[in-house]
Order: sequence, then structure tokens, then C-alpha cells
Amino acid sequence: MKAKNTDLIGGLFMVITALFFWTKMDKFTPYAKIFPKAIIILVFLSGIGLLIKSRTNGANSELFVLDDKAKMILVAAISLAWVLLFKKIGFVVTSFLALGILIWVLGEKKSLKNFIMSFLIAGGEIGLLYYVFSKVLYVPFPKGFFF
Amino acid sequence: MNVFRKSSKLWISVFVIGLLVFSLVACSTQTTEEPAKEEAKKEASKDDSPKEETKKDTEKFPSKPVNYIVCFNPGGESDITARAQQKPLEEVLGVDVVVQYKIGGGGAVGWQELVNNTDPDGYTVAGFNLPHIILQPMVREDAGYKTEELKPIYLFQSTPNILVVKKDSDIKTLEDFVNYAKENPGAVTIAGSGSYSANHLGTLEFNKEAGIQTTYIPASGSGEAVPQLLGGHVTALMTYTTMGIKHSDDMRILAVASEERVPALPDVPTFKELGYDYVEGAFRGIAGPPEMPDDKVKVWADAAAKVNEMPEFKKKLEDLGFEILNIGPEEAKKLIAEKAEYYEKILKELDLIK
Amino acid sequence: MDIIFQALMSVLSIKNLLLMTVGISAGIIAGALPGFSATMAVALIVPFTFTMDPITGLATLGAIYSGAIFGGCFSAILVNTPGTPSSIGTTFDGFPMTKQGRGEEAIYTATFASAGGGVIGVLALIFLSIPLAKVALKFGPPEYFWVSIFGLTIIASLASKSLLKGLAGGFFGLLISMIGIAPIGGDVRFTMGISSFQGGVEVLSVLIGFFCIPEMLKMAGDINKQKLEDVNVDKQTGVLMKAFLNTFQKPINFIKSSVIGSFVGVLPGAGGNIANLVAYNEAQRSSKEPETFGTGNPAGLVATESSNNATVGGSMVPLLTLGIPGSPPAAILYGALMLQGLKPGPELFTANVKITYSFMISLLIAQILMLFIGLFTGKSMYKIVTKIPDRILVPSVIFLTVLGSYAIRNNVMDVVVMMISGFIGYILKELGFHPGPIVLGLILGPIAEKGFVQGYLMGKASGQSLLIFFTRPISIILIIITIFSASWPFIRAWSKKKEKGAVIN
Repeated sequence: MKAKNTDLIGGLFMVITALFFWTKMDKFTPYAKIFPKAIIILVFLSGIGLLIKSRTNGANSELFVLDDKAKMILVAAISLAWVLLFKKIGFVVTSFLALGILIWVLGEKKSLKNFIMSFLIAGGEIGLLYYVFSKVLYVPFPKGFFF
Repeated sequence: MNVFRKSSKLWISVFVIGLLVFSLVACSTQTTEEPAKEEAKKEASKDDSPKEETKKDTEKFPSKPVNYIVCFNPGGESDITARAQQKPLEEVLGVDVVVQYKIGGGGAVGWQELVNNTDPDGYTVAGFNLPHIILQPMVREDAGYKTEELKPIYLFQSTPNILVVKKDSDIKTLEDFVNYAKENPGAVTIAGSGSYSANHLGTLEFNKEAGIQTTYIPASGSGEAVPQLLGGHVTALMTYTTMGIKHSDDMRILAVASEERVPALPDVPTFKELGYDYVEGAFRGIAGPPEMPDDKVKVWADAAAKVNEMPEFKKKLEDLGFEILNIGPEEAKKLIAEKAEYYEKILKELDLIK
Repeated sequence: MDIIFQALMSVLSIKNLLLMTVGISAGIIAGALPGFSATMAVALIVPFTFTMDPITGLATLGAIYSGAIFGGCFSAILVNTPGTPSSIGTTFDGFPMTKQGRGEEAIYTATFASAGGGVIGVLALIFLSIPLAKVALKFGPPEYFWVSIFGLTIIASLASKSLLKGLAGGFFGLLISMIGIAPIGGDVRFTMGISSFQGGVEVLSVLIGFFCIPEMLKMAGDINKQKLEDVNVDKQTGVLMKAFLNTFQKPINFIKSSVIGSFVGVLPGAGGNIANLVAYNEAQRSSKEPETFGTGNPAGLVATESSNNATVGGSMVPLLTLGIPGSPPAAILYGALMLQGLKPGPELFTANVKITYSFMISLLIAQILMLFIGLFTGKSMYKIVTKIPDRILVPSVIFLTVLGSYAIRNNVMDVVVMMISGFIGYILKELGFHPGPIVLGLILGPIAEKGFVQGYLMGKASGQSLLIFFTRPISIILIIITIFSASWPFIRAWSKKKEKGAVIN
């Protein structure tokens, strides 16, 4: 993979963020506006600074140097699904599925034995932590459709 | 090193046992009166979910632990009340009362959760505050809930506003204060808890009533305003009775904004006595989700009323500066509606809303 | 002196020591779990202390508080996740040490530093509480504003590679901290129509996301590589001695950090979250080899861990002398004191003097107990984490982050924020933005804004407007420190150049 100009990407990120927040600032009362306004300007300026640097003396580096990028993206996707779904489906069920699948996906051999082991480990962990958090520490987990 | 490894294994087990003891203490202290219940709990913990589900349909309410949500930081007025109520409520209701926190946005995060995402089975209630639940939907574009969506169960205490200065201040009486403010228009600074709180509106109402001009400086919470006064950064504090009692060694209370004198502060005159028609303060109670059935509201309201009558509880709260109130569901609803009208008028007069 | 002896006697009972040991262990577990903070651990136990006598109750609560602040270092060192905001800086050098197979040494070093820092904090509480509280009261809004600006100068040392990126990251963090209700004016800002954002973005969940998720994703991508730790995990000898020397051989770093921690702890509204970064910055600034910080230099670890545990004693100073809590957990202790019928303030030093000193002494004993518990469990904790294969460790840690970020406020949105900021954090990290400055901005944002706007209102009322920020004595001192701290990297670069020049000539 080719090296990317990180100053350029970072600078664009900051400039876009600043512009986005700027548009959300219309109706604030005076005292609530002083500070955000100043900060947005600073974010914008630092973004512009990075953009200028990217043209003159940009820092280049290769992004996401990993052995197995597909696996990283897969783990990220499963994790995201996990946090987006657990309110609807229920914390315990979602976590059991997500945790089991993650352990299985990361394992070397995709055999049936590993599959079962993965979900056994997931079940054990969830059982223990669910007990500690909900019964001892009184954290109310969302139940959703199932549990 | 071998010995060390062995002992570290030992310590891990001590650690785990510690956790177990800790959890047992947690369970057992709550159920000391009924050992039988602990047995049941142990059994339930083996497979808890189905049992709790079947219990739900039985006649008796409540028949499993109830949740009491506190929407403000631990250590604040709402939390102190909830913690003081916890044990007495357990006695009256006969089940565990679990205090949980849903903090943020001046209470709004907890209330929008109560209104939008809480099962109205009566097992979850939340503490609520006046004027917060009236003012937030009024001044915020989207507070996430509407005042009338909260189903009031009971209002059990209030903390009237007080005006305080430092003990070593030259200002000895309310008259001194008003005169000083008239001589120095705008230069008098009053700190208080947050924007659109009872302290904030109270300051504005008093300014109008006394014909003075002061600068209100909002702090995050009533506790955070105290060092600003004690450090001499502001002239006065508009705060609650509880704060005046906590810091009575360092503060002089000029007047209290209640109809009658507060039992814990017998020597402090009311604003009314001194000729200012100014009564303001925060009211606290519990509310349920909008669809909570009336019979369950009644169970809670009766329990709260009983707790209020307990002499020990009453004394504890009064000593801390709270005024005990007994306002049931219907009256609470009426009171909220009245106050909403009143605040709308005030906010319009002060040009804070259109 | 007599009263201290009496207090010592009343604390030293089997029951107290047992409850304190349990309290510390529970605190360590809570602190080590990402998302479960010291505040929550203390809040949870308060109801159980009502039935205890005041000394036992307070000793237990103090033990939990100390344990929880200390416990944060375990997850910081082992999986790069600050268990509490007080151990952000611990990840900078602690995790690299673990990667080099020196995790055990790191844990022991943190243990010595924590217990030592804790003791200094408590000594400050016992002997200096009255003058310290007086100084703390002198800090008004303008001073808090300058404290936060001084805090932002730390960015220079956190962003080792690119100062510009560090600044951009810091400002970005400040911007994110604006989400929620405006502290002055009460406006709803930048919530994008999500009503649970009224409570703001929870610092802890962003913290967990930024520090932990990128590391886990990286491990997932490199899952097939052999683990480094397997090679030399058992070969280290004398780690205990090494750790002891790390902490105490050069006592200046340790003492300076503890003093910083004690004082920052005294300031209401600033706690371990700021203290650990200030101490880290100072350790790096005064070090002869600043470039080794962030690559596994134990001195960084000593600085952060001694300072954050020193805040425990410090935060009790304004609480006991004035009834003003110096930190959120101290605020809960306040509630506990009140319901016990004790009134914080001067009365504690007259009518209830025995209880007060017993509480202070118990905090001291808690540090010693903590030292032993830390030394005995450290190795096992390290081994457990390194022996678990990555394919199980990665999902399990992700599970813990989900659990933890939910438990902070029982808010589903916090979990989503945690995961998304984890992804953003990974991308930014790859682009060369260190997570440190961003998190620093997030922590300092509310302090800076409140200080500035409140100070501005005060200035307007007194007719001197913005001048108020430049006329008060403590403000002036803080401005000088800020300028010094901001220009230090340039001073150093200049003096190095000169040195080099001298050699060449």
C-alpha cells in the first residue's frame, strides 16, 4: 500500500469538523456562545495549518499496517453491530452471540469443536459478569426483545 | 520465587473470596430482617430470569426489588433524600429498594429515559424536581420529555431558597444587602446552582421585587457555588436551606424564601416578613412513567407518606434543612400545572422566552 | 500527638482491618474494570456503612476510594485501557513496558509509587490541611481558567511527533466537550437531536474508546503473529527490587509528583484526571532523557501513579476543613458523613476530633495494606492477562469495554459513543494524532469554559471586564507558569543547539 499524506487527511478532517459544528451554532445565547465559537475557530485554523504543511512538508506514512486487515475490519463490524443492537435485542443475548462469534472468528481452526468451545467460553464469561454487574453492582441492563 | 508464586495464587483466592464476601455483605445487609428472603434470593441467583418473570403476574405489588432512579450526582440533595428513604421504604414496601443513577443534563437524561424507555409496571420510579421539569421543556428546544408526561407520585420535601453572605461580611441584614446593591448597581454578584434553576429564577425574581440589579453567576450544582462565596469571589449566594445549614459556621443567612420560617433555621426571617413578596425553592418528589397504572401509583404514594411520618426519618431530614411536604399524586399534578403557568409568566416578563 | 495515638488505637481493630482489606480489594477490582470508577465504587458501598460505627464506616469508604484509584493502573498497564481517568498517563509508559515483557515490573513500580504517593497525600492532609484549604479557596473562576490553560500546555509533551497535530487534537477534544448543556446559559449545544446527549459526552467512555479499542483492533489484525510475552515472561528475576529502585532511587520525581497530586487534589473540581498528566509532563520536562518517555520509561509510571494516589488525601482537605468536597468520590463521602450525623467543617476538629483523626490514620493504613495487596496480586494479574490467548483476550476486553461504558451512567448512548470514538481514535492514531491531547481537551474543556465565562461575568460586574484575568496575584503566578511550560520545548531545543554548537567549535 502506498504511503498517505497524513497531514492532508488530518487537516481535512479538522476543517470539515469545524465547519460542521459552526453550522449548528445559530441559536445560542451570548454567554453560551463565546467559548464554542473560539474553539471552532481554533480547530479550523489548526486544520488549515495542517493543510498548508501537507503542501510544503507533509508527513507521509503507510496506514493500517497489519497482518490481516480483513480480520480487523470484521472485528470492528461485529463490535459495532453489538453496541447498536443490544438495546433492541437484549443485552445478554446480543453479547453472547457477539462474544462467541468474535472468539470463533479469531481462532485459528474453524472446526466444530472450536465453535462449541467459543460459545462455551462466551457463555461462562457472560454468566459471571452478568451476575456481578446486575446482582451485586445493580447495573440494570436493557432487556430488549429477548433478554 | 516459587514461594512467591504460590502465595500469589493464595492471594488471588483471597481476592475472589473478598469479592464474594463483599457481594454477600451487599445482599445480606439489605435483607437482615427476613432471612427467608435471602434463601429465596440465593436460589433465584442460580437461574434468576424465569422466576422473576412468573412472579410478575401475581396479585401482590410489589413482589420483587423496585428501582428508584436518582437523576443527580451522588452527594446532592436528591441523592441524600433517596439514600435516607431507602431503608424506610424497604420496610414499608417489603422489598429491596435499589437506588440507581441516571445523571446528566440537569436531570433531563434520566427523565427522558423514564418517559420514553421505562416499563410502566410500577417497578421503576425516578426522583424529580420542581422547577426543573417545568423549566427544561420550556426553555430547551428538545428536552426529550414534556412536563405532563411525568406521572407525579408524591412530593415529599422542598428546600426553600436562602440568601447568604460570608460570616465576616459587612452585610448584616437583608436591608444592608439591598442598600448595598442599590448603591452599586450591577456590581453585586450572586452565585447559585445552574441556569434556569430555582436559584437562578429566584435571583431574578428577587431583583425585580427589591428593585435592584445584580449579576447572577451560575455554578454547576449547589455545592460548587459554595467555595466561590467562601473564597470571596462573589458577594452572596442564592442557595438552598440545606447548604446554609451545612456551612452555618462560615455563612450568614439573610433571609429564607419560604411562606413560614423553616424549623431548622428558627432565627432566620422570611423574605415576606421583611416586606418582599418572594417565595421560591426546589420541590422534590418521585414520578413514574406516563402509563403507570393508578393503583401502583397509590402503593408508592402511600409508602412515601408513611416514610414521611416516621419520626426518625423526619428529624433527620429536617435537621439537614429540608422542609417535609406531603403532597399526593392528584395535588402534585395540580401544583405542577399551577407552577407551570406561574413560571411561564415570569419567564415572559423577564424576556427569557418568547 | 496524643490524639494521633488514640486514633491509631481505635483504627487498629481486627474488624476494621478486615473490612479495609475487603474494601481495598473491591476498590481495586472496580478501578481495574474500565468504566467502573472510584465514584461509583464509593457510592455503592455508602448505604452499608450507615449501620457501622462512624470510624469503621469511614475507614471502609476511604479504603475503597484508595483501592479504586490504584486499581486503574492494572488495566492501563496490561491492556492500554485507563480503568479510571486518573490513570490516563499510566498507559503512556505502562503499556509499552508490557509489550516489552516488563509488565510485572511495571505493576510493581506502580504499586510502590501509588502507596508512596498515597502516604504523602495523607501526610499533607494530617499536617497541612488548614493552610492548603486556605490557598484552595483563593482559586476563583479566573484561576481555574488559567489552570486549564496551563493544562493545555501539556499537549506539547504529549504530542511527541507533531506539535501541530497535538494542538489540533487538543482543540478537537475541547470542541467535543462542548456537547451537552452549556454551563452558563443552559443552552442545549451540538446534541444533533439526540436527547441523551444533554448529559454531554461521557469522558470515561471516550477514554475507553480512544485507548482500548484501537489496541484491540490492532491485536485482532495481528492475531496470527506470535505473542512477544511468551518468550520472556518467566525469565525476569529481581523485578521487585527493580521496581522498588524505579520508584525510590531517584526520589525527586516521586516526591515532586506526590506534591503535585496532593495540591491538585485539594482544588475542588480538579482531581487525579488532571494531576496524573501534570505530573507526567513535569517528570518528562525535568528528565535528562525526555525522548524515552512514552516508550516504556518507568519514571513516567512513577509520576502518574504517585500523583493520582496523592489526590486521595488531598481531596479530603477541603472536605474535612470546609465541608467542600475536593473530588466526586469525596462528595459522596460528604453525604455519608452527613447521614452519620457528622458535620464537615471546623466541628470535625473540635467536637469529633477523634473520628476525624481516626479517619486520616485509616487512610494511611489503607495505603500500606494496598501496597501488600498490590505486591501479592500483581504477578497473578499480569500472568492471567498474558497467558490468555489473544483470540480470547481481544473479544473479552471488548466485552468489558461494552459493559463498563454502559455501567458509567446506565446509558446505551455512552456505549455507542465509546465504540465510535474507538474507531475515530484508531483512524486518528494512524494519522499521527496521539489520543492524549484529545482526551486532555475533553477533560479541561468544561473547566476552561466555566472559568472563563464566570470570570468574565465577575469582571463585568466589578467594572474591570477581561482585566480580571490578569490582575489577581494567583492568576499572575499561573500565567508565568503557563508561559514557562509552553516555551520549555523551545528553550530546550535552543539550549541543545547551543550545546551541540559548543562541541563542534
